[in-house]
Amino acid sequence: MLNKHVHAIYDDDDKLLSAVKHLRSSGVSIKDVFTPFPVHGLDHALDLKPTRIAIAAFIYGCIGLTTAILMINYIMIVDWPQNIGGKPSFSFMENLPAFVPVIFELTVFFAGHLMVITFYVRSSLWPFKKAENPIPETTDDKFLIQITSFKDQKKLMSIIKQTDYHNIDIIEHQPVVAESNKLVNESSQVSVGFVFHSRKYSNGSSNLRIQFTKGRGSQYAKNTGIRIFRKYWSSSKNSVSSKHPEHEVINKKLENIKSKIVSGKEKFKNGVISFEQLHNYVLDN
Amino acid sequence: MGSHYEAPIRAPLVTGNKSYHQITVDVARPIEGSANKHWWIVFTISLLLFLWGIGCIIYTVSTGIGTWGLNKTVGWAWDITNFVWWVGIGHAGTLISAVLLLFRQKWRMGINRSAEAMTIFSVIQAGLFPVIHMGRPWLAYWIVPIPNTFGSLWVNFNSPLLWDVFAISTYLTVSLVFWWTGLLPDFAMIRDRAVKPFQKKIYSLVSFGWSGRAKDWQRFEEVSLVLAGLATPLVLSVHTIVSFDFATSVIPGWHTTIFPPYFVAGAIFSGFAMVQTLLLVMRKVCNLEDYITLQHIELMNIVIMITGSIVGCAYITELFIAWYSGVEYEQYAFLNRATGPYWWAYWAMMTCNVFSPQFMWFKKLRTSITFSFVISIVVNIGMWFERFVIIVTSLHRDYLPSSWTMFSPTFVDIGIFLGTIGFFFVLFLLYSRTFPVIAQAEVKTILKSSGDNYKQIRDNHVK
Repeated sequence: MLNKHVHAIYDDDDKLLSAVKHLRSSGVSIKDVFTPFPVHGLDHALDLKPTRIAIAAFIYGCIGLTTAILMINYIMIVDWPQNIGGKPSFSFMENLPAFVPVIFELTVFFAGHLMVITFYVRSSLWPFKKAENPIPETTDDKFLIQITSFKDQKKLMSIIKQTDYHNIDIIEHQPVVAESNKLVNESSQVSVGFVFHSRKYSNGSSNLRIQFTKGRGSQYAKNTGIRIFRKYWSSSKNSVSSKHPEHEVINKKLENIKSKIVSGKEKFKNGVISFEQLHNYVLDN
Repeated sequence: MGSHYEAPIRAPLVTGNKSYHQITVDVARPIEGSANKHWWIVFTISLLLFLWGIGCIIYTVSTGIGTWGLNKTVGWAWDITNFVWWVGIGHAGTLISAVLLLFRQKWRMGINRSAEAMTIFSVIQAGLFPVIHMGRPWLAYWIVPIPNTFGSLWVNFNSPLLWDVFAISTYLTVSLVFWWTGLLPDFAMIRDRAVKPFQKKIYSLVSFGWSGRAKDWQRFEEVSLVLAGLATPLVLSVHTIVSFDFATSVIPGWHTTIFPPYFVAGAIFSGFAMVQTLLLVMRKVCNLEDYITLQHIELMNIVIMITGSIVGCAYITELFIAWYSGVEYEQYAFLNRATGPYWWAYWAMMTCNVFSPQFMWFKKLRTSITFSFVISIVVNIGMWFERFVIIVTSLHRDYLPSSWTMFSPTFVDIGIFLGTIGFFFVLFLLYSRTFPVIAQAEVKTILKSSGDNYKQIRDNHVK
């Protein structure tokens, strides 16, 4: 089954905002919107629930306040009361004025830090986290609407085309497998197919790769060295459509690879080469 | 266009006909380019000063505090002067990013990133002094509330010095997360533009995988607002508590109730002066004149003028109250400040802090870049003298005339102070080459309302 994503890309925040309103009123369900800066009114246009992080901060502040009071009361009054400067510490209330600065600071400390930690956890931000914006330009000057669930692609396209869009990308996440995409039970069975690398170059093209799968467990992919726009790829024919200016050269290369795949699989079956060596054989020009 | 309206009377905050992409390019340029000769010269000088400071610190720690010019009458001098000076400088950053955010001042967006960086770097310098002055800095953890090894002897929560520990560490860490949270989208922008694999790796690491989802932005804005709300009383509390170090004592000249507001005003005054010094250079070196405009400089000068006048009022109030109190020790402390052996420090302070900012009443002067630069440095010198005057002149002639003495710094005192200046500039110079120095995501939000090209389009429309 193909799992298609549609990315509608805009080059202006006002265009994005009216597009979001238009798409939503046309019944399109928007998965996510990626923007380079906070676009005012976007949360209302998307019907996002208001964030409760400020309430959380208030609760954290109360926790800090309580912690500070309990700590100071224990240290200064309960555990080791001292007579400092003729002001004996026998009761918390009488000594409270001197404790106010630390109580205040700890309240702010707890509220500030725990709120930021909550923000990082809820928005899953941490070091070594991989960025998830589909195209790198969304941190620069592009605004992207991600649509993942739709029934009729043509209808969706016509709705998007009514908006003032900059570009539309259709992303196919499932590997576009060449042959024998059937479930294979024998672990010795090998399937080889074409897939696109998930990362795109800034001009929108991606690397065409070959994916080698053995049984259900081991899998790896190697670049073919061919870099094309996804729109030129025909998954039913496993070739580049004739609209591509260099389709003859690329298809010739692909024919070569496809024949190598067939013979390579034969060789693997006969035990001449191992699964790990298969890619050397297929991509050896 | 309707939602981006701004009154035509307001001067544009972003000039030079910018687009969103142009802002990205301008902010990324200093990071993606290589440093010029001037940067290397200043960096080398700063690094040498820093190393010299480290040498003096090692000498102090290994030999003892006796290497400083302190004596039994003046037990606090340059160390605490430098400490208060650096903490004061560290007040402008959070003031700009927090207080001005609450007041919805859009002009803060061009300068807040660097001001916050300056805050963090100067608070680091400030923190060094109490730790060194402990004499045994490896025991610095004793300031945390943990019982000692023999039983439950705790830190003293009645002591303003302990309040300082909590105030400064809260201030430093909260400012740091405030700064870093604001940096995430800008680091992400650098990450997504990076071509060198190492650069990409580093900026992926520091941007925490920021992707810019609508929900992330919603939380981001709420977090910024609440942090601003928390940081506003925090920034006012920090210098209040620093002033308590003096105000809660019984030393004439220190024991005054005016200290908290007077110190806070002085801190903002010196902090803005330092921001002014740094940004006047930075906008030139990094070609950021379109984002840090003459209007930004003028507004900062107005803040300097107002806080300078508040500080001036505080000086005069102190003198009046000393006379009005009828306490002869108090009266002598102030008479001694102005006419005693340290008269030159007092009048340096008066000239730099009270008189020099008054020039900013003239529009011609406050919009002059050279003049602003000179005044910003003069103010910082004056604010250093203010702390020196408060601390040393109040101590050197105490209740017992037989112990009256003078203080003169040794080369170690001077070396550590210069070392912190070097350290500060090392950090700031490294920052200016590796961090997005303008909060570009925020500036993009005001481009349509305050960009000169968009304002022009609207003006033409009206006519």
